[in-house]
Amino acid sequence: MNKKSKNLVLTVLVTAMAGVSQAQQITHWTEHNSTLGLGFPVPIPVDTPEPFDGFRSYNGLHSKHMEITAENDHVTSHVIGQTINNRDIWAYRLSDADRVTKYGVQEGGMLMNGGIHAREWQTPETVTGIMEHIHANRHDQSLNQFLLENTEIVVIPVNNVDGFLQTQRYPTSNYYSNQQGPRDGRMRRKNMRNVDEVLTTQSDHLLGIDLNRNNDPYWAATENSGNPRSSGDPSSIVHRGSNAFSEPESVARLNAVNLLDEDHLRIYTDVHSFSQVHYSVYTFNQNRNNLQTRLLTDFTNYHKQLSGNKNYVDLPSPAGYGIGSTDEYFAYTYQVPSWTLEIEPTNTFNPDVHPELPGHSADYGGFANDGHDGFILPDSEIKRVRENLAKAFVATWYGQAGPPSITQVRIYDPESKAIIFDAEWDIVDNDNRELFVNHIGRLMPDRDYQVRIRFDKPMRIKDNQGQASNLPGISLIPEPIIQLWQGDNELDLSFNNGKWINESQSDWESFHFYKNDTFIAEFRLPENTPLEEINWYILATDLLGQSNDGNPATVVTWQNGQWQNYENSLGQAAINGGFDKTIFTPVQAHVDHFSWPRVSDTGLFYDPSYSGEGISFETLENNRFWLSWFTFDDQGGQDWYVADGQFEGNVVKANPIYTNEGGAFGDAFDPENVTFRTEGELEMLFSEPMPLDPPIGTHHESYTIATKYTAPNGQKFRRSWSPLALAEGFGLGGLWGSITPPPPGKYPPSFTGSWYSPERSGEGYHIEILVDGRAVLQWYGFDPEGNKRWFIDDNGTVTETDTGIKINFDQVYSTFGTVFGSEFNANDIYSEVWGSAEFILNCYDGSMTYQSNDAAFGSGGYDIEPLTRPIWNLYRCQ
Amino acid sequence: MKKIFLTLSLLSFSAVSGLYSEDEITDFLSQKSNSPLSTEVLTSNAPLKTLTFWLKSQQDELTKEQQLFELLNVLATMPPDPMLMPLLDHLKQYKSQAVKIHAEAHHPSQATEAIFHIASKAAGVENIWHMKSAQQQTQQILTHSHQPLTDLENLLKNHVNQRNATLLGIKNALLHVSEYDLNQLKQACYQSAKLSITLHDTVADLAIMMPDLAFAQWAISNTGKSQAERIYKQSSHSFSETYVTALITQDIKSKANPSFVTSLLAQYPDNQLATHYLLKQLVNPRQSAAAAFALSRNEDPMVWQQMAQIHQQSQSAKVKRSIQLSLKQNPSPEAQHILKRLAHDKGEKS
Repeated sequence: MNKKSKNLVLTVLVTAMAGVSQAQQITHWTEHNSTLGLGFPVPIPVDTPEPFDGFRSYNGLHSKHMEITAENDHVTSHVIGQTINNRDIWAYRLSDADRVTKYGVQEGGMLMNGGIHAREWQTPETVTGIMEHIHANRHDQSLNQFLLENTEIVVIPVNNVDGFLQTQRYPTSNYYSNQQGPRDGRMRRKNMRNVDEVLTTQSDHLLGIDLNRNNDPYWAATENSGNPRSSGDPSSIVHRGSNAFSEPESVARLNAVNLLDEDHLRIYTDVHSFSQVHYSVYTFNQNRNNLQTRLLTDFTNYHKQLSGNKNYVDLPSPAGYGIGSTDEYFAYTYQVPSWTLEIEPTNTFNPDVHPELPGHSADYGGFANDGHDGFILPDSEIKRVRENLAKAFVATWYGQAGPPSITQVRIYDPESKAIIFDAEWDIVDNDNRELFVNHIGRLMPDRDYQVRIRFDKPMRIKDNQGQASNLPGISLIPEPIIQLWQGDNELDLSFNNGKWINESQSDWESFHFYKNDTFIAEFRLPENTPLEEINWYILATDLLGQSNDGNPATVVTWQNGQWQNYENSLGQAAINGGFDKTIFTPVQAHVDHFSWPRVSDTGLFYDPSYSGEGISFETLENNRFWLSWFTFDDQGGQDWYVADGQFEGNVVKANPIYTNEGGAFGDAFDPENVTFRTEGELEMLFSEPMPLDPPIGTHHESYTIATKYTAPNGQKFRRSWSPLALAEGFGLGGLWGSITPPPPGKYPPSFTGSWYSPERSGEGYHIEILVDGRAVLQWYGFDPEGNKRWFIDDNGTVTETDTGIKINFDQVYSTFGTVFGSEFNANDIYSEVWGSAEFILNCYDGSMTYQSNDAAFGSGGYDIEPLTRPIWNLYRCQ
Repeated sequence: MKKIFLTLSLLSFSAVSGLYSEDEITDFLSQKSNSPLSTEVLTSNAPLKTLTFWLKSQQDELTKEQQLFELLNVLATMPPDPMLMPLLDHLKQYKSQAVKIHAEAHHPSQATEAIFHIASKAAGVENIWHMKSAQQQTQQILTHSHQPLTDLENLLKNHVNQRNATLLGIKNALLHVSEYDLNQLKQACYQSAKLSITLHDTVADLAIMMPDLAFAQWAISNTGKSQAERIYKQSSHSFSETYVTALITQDIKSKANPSFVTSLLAQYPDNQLATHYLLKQLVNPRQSAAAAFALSRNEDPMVWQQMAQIHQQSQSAKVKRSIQLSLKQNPSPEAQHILKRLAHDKGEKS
């Protein structure tokens, strides 16, 4: 070094040493090189609710939370407590109103705490980013919608509101000395107990309670160690408070648990910055620890594939140690995966867990002048951070929603488009399911079939090319492994053209609730397959590589630190799942000609075991249907539903079915007041036709219908419906087309169908002319108070007129006495004669009059016209 | 059970070599220290050799690493020196031995953090030197080049791995050149057929260096989303109310999120131009949330009445919700009264 250079160095040295500070003084973070020089613009909070490349003010964030709450029916806001300075602390519940999944089981709870340390601005942004992500994708029919409908998520964006506001009040300033580092102002960590909001008040700048040292079970646990991790000294950066949960902010966090079912809490995260690690908590429960590690590995592997490729390293603590932090409380109290997430940047660790990065602000080209600069993420990075972490948490919570379980297995005959086998798990109670099995048609060797397997969660995501895809970085079995066994012999066959379904092409080729919750593959049993029962072995993995439950008969849930009722391939309790071996199908001998299952003609159907409710079903042009279902409500009142749609093969799917309200009997009816709402779905699976020998009227065959109603809460009700009455002109089955119909005319059977008054849209009449000449009436309407009512008469007298027919229903009944669903009891039903009605019907118009025995209903009448004209009727009206 | 936890906790700490408690660190930092290392290294003809020799000396890690940190502090204030680069590279790989437990770690075994973050500080010094070097080169470009945009683009492209430091160097240079040179650069921008994406950040810096409405509008139109939003945001921090409201209410065609831009008017609740603009935006369902947010600061009852009128006339549930939310955030009793009246409207989530 030459003399000139040496002189310069000495000058620099003198200058540099003169800057060493011993006393606490207010010092500023700067963009340019200085004691607290960052090397990038010092972030200043912007008063906006809109996400951008930077940090929002508390007010802006809160406005965004409220905006989401107002727009999204699945998000609710809750004040869970007040801060030391009496400000509200808010939590948000992201879930539907009930606490059961679409599949009828208890929802798992996810809890996230943000903003516990005031200076860690990354965390309220991240928690808000998660809310924004789920809200923006709430109709995605994929992971986000799945979470909203099948889990309970509770997030606290800012736990330490007072402290956060203090840091935002002084975004560039804090006290600083060499010994203490930066404190208060922008670098406040603790809450504001005994602190005013004026930075220049030096006497209180070290005070406050560290809310992450204020918790059981390890509150003050390290007090007598050589390296205490919390302090009783109020000026300490880790002052723990007078006792566990002494602070209102800590109590508020506990209150947040009440927003979900705490017995089903599945995961807790306390979001902090910085160091880019998971400080996870190990307890003495090894299974819990293993599952937590697996979950965090998935989090990390997925996150590493997102933009920026940031690697979050899991650093679990040994069991039995703690510092009084929040994650310890949730890990030990609830035995759930629980950790402190330290958001980026990286730190300078020994051993170095991020050798790929320099650490602190230098990760972004900053100066790393002071170690605390890691708390100040550059504006330019926060968008990526919150968006990527939102995706990672969605994936993580998806995992903790539960391992996958098969909900349904169906076999389909592509030639006839008929479902020939149906097996589905029905929920019985919180812990149990039972398998409903329906052998509808023939499973024969040497014939092409398709199998459709449905799961209780989306099993893949849709990639940019529209293909089913895994989450980047997480390995899984691409397609389910399906094996067919007869005793100890595995059948030699392959499943071809397997695909996850993310678009609904037809009733068969459709997903259920969520894209990629359904897998379809083709197969053909070998020609020499013995005619013995086949046992299906099925193994699939979800997006986090979790295997399906080996036995769905018991509902998987999380208790005592692990999944419970999660059987492996041997049917034993485990934490890994395995082959589901619960499905059996018979094999029938191959025949070339047979009558395959298909949707039957128009008619009235009921379940003899549930006599008193039933359905009027009509098949219409272009494979459309119209149905009205008359039954009861939960309170014992009458109720009815309607639906239309398209049928295919032997399946009618009314999804959704509708109920309406706002109507009234008689003159009070105003169609403007009638509103429809969806009320679950109804599926009808028709059997193979059973020949009637001798025929009854025009009916040469008969059907049974396996019916499933799925309520909005996932509860299922099943019925086996048979014909209640046979309408003349229908039921020709295979003879349709081979019998010459009479020329069009005004035959009484040609008036079968639904009728309504256009001025009274929202109520109507189903009329059938039966094979014995009687007429049946189903009248769907309301009572004068607006309650749903239906009236029935199966003994109408038909008289032909010059222009059509007249039907007199002299004893129109109304029935009462039972309730909808599993409590339905036919023996409780009683009926009362309500009155009489007369219908005068022409081909294209008509009228009806009524006379009730009940003065409240009185008498009256309306002009009506056909609502439907069922097909496959031998008699055409003209 | 709790007693067992406590005993285990007591046994666990203090077992890690080079691990210091917060009290020990504070005590250490309270002592006045001499730092002979900086003088030794910086006056040496072979700085790296001197450092390597010094690192082998018998000192405790804490003392040693404090001196290394102070050496880096000195280097940070010096101009870039190629002779010292090997030394800096050496320190970038340095593994700190004096450590403490990370504040949120439950146990020392979860990795400890350096008390003096030598390696990242060394990387930071390198960034400072890059910044200084870029500043110098930019000053040359701005004062001598006939194609300043091309040269600045090349400068950035040649330092892709030090992009942030280079950008900061360019920005520093812009702050130090003459107004004439800045105007020359702006003219070059105007004349460019298509602004290179590499230059978007620098153009944004130029637009927020001093109030120049015409150039700001041009820059907003010709840069990316992030830069355009930064111009709006930074202008609202740095420039006058008149300037900012004029800029925001121009409806400049850009990639910026219009809701974000609109919301920035929240800081001018009494500005008539802003209020007029916000009321106009309020009827647009895409803008209503941001406009309503900004209007929630307004203290003029006449404005609340106009918002109520828009609420009554609008068919959009989103517009209605936004207005209700805005009034809800307004603490005035009169605003609350209007809100109550509006709440009786049909069809909104209460």
